[in-house]
Amino acid sequence: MRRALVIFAAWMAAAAAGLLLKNDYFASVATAMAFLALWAQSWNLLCGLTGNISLGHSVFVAVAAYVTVILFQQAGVSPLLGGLLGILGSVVLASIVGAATLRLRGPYFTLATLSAAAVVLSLILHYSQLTGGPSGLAITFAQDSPFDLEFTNVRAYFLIATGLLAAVTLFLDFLKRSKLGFYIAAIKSSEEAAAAAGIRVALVKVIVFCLSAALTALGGVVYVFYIGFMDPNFLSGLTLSVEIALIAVVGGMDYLIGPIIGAIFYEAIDVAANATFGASGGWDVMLLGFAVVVMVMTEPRGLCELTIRLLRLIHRRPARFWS
Amino acid sequence: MTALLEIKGIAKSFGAVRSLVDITFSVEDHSIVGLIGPNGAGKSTLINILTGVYAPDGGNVQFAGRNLGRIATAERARLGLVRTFQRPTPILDLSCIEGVMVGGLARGLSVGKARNAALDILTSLGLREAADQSPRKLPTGHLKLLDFARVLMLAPRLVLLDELMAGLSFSELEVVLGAIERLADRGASFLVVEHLLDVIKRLSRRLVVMDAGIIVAAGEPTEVIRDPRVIEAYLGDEAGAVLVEAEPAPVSSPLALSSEELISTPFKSAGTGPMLEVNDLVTGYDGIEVLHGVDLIVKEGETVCILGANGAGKSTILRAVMRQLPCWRGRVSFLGEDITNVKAFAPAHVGIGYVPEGRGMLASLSVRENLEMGAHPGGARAAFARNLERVLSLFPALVSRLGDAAANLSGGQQQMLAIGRALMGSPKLVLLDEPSLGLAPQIVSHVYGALTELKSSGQAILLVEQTVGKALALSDRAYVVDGGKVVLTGPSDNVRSDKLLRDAYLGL
Repeated sequence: MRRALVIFAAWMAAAAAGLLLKNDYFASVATAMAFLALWAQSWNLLCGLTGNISLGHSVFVAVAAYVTVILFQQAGVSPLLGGLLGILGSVVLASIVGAATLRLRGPYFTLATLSAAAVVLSLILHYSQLTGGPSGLAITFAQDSPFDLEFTNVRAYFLIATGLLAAVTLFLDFLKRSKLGFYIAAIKSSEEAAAAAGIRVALVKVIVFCLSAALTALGGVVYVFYIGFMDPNFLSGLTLSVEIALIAVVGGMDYLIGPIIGAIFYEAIDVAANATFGASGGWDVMLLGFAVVVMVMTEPRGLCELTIRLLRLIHRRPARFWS
Repeated sequence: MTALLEIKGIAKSFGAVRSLVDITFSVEDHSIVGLIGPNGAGKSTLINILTGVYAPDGGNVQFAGRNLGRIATAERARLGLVRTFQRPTPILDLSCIEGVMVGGLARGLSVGKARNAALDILTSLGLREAADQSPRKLPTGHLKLLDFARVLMLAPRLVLLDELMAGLSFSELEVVLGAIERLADRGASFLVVEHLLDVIKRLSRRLVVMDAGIIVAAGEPTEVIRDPRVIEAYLGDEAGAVLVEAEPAPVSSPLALSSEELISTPFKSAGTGPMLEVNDLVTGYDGIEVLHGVDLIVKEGETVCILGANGAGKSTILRAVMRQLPCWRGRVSFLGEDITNVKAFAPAHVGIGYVPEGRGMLASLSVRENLEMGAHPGGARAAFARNLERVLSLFPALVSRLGDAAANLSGGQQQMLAIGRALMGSPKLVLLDEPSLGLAPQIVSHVYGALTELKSSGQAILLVEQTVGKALALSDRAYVVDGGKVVLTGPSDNVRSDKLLRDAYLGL
């Protein structure tokens, strides 16, 4: 209950800060940050909790976004309903990939997620009549239409994204204390021992993967209306997938707040690099890469762990609230 | 009426190695059956087949009248066929009680009910205080109790105990035996794989002996262990000691090794000056202090053992000397040189060899490559050929296995390899952490025979051990550690004859 209140208060604070931001550029940075944090949090549900690393998580953003937008534009289906179908599509994809590869040990799952994203990308590019192919689809609107997820003020998307982030964070906090949460922890520690304790290991892993895909897709549905344009190479590309993973890793996979800290760190470096060197030239990517390397060398368990270590230097007492 | 568990003609090969040739026996309902055999006999393989981890090449297993076929491990556990593991398997990210609860959740208990049941079980095993702690900080013995607690939560019909009791202290052993007997009274059956014959004799009225993938004997325990085939395959020169329950037998070497060979080696050192000096050592894990100021000395050519219950801090002393843990306070010096804050690789280079608990095999490398890795420090490479010859004469069993992957060795051979690897670095002092853990009596004798040879060659040894009798017989001096402090030290003979001490700390 205390944690729920803290999470709710944090959301209200973030929302207030977002609404007070007069500068549209910083409002868009904050919104991007919220979506990245949401995806990283969803990614961490699978990868941080079970230890199975996905490097194709953006595919769930892509599937949900395309299903929603195509249904909306071609058949007039409301994005609220279309979004549900899009999320369902992501879950179906996750269950197929998961059922095939999560029972194997080794890098197969990671490779399968990489290839799933590549396959979906080629399908999008191939069926260009439906998807717009490489040039993508534009979503244009001139006035607010909440039930179509259309808002002219970007701050509305910031509110929704941070709200979803708060909800997902709350859900994960609840999950960790649930039966499924205990099963996940057992599986991460030792699959053999988990099975010996009567846990259906493969089934639990597939369920967790589907949950993670659904939450990622949920963000995708809102995101595409915020950004107003479907770029297949971004939505189902490697860059976004790797960003999502890096953010969670840098922030700290063992902590509920890790992916959020990671997203803030990530966007902060991005903004600083663009302000110093200009948006072209790829300085932001280079700096980010450098920051990640330094981060992993000083504290492989992420910024949260680093912070706790620093606090411990001062207090000599471990802070465990967010674990 | 058929038996609870019927094993018929089970066979299993891994590549060209026939691990199980033809195993047939049964476990009746409401019974406790012991299963013994030398390391490498196939006992763990059999348990893995019974629990569905491996599929057998031939034969079948029936449980409660049902052919198990290809039923998955989790489903077998839900049927009541459960196991423990040789190495403890704590759930690291959960508290102890949550890790135990998992077993109850899987059979349908709610989180609240599982918590209550888990608390009862932890209390009965004497672990109530650890309930909300992380298992990361617990010693191996407690982790094994936790595994056992998780098994109890599953409301089992048949429990396969894979060396659960190896490495437990005397009092922990009593607790586990009591729990097993209570559960047996309520109708559960057990298959107990163990090297501790006293335990098996106390618990079971039927003993099955395995060797090289077949059953060599089965029947009433006291009769079975008199069977000459069993003595030859398993007990070796321990037989006499075990049967008459005498004082620990003096260590004899099964190996013929001439003393000239040993004297000509670089291990030989003379004199009685202090070699390793540990002063007021304080260290711990994750901010929890484990050692509260330990003083310890090993002189040149001396063999010293560290004894004490699980969790006393014995292994922690060795880990601190090897710089695997930072020293929070105090000083460690070796041959007059301060090594308190050197890099983690440095102790090996100044001449300290280390055989960690669990052996630390480089599993995918061959035996020879493992030995080569040990020859890394300083001048050891120059002495490679001589050291190799020495190690192989100490452990002839390794000669024919040089090309095999270390992972394919039996537990006893792995322990020999681990010691051999430490010796390949021409160490002036060897630290050994529980070299007898999980080994059959005959193999323990082999290992201790080799240690005796090493000692007589002048090799200085610092030994941490649970097998108190053997360690005291081997060593010149002993330290008894309790609660992170040295509570007593003296010549090993005095320690052995001190009745009070034995009762209080060693449970001999």
